[in-house]
Amino acid sequence: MLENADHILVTQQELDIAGVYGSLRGASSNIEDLGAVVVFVGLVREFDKSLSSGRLQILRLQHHPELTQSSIVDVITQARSRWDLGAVLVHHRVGDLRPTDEIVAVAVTSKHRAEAFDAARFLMDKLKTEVMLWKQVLNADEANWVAFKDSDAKASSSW
Amino acid sequence: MLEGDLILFGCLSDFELQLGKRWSSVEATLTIETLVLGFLERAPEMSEIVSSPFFKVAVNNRVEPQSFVLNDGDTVALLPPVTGG
Repeated sequence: MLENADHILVTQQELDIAGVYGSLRGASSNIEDLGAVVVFVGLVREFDKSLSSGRLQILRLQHHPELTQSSIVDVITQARSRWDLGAVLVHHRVGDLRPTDEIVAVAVTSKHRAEAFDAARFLMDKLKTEVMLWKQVLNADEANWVAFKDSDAKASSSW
Repeated sequence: MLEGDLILFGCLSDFELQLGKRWSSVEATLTIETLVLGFLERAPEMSEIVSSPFFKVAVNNRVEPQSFVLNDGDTVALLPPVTGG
């Protein structure tokens, strides 16, 4: 279950990273003894080994409109069952992105830094394996679906 | 006869030519497992994807187990291992 302070956004628009921090602080204002804010932002990398040129022009994010949101709720619920968190925020881009674009923002607040760092890493690891999103890399000549990585499965199952 | 819409996500959308946009069966009772086995006969290249423990099937926008029994008119979505984040 989400708390009132939590926020999920799945959008084709650019992510507002400064706004992420501001809204998280605002959402946490009623939390007693707030001591830590961790914000992670993932960027689109230009280099991709699956393309013969090694460089992508577009990263296309496909999602399942109904299931993407509910799978993010599931992941946040798991994080909340493990750590005492103030607010949790997950914003994810979908559609066509270009190199250096912000693709995902995960942010948490808590009393102490350890649980905020751990929860942010947990959320990212679970986003990689449980949230209904699929990446495709494209340039003028090729279009390849990104393969599921064993390293992501290991990171997710390590929790 | 059972039938319904079929939606393919991610890399499985490459198999739309073999699988089409509808599923159907002459069986009176059909589970997700049996439906997927039928898809594999038409597109054996899918086998590595659907045998992954991270492969899932949603029926009417809800992830369901392999033993789930399909009803006429159900919308089936095949969800390969995810690659977001």
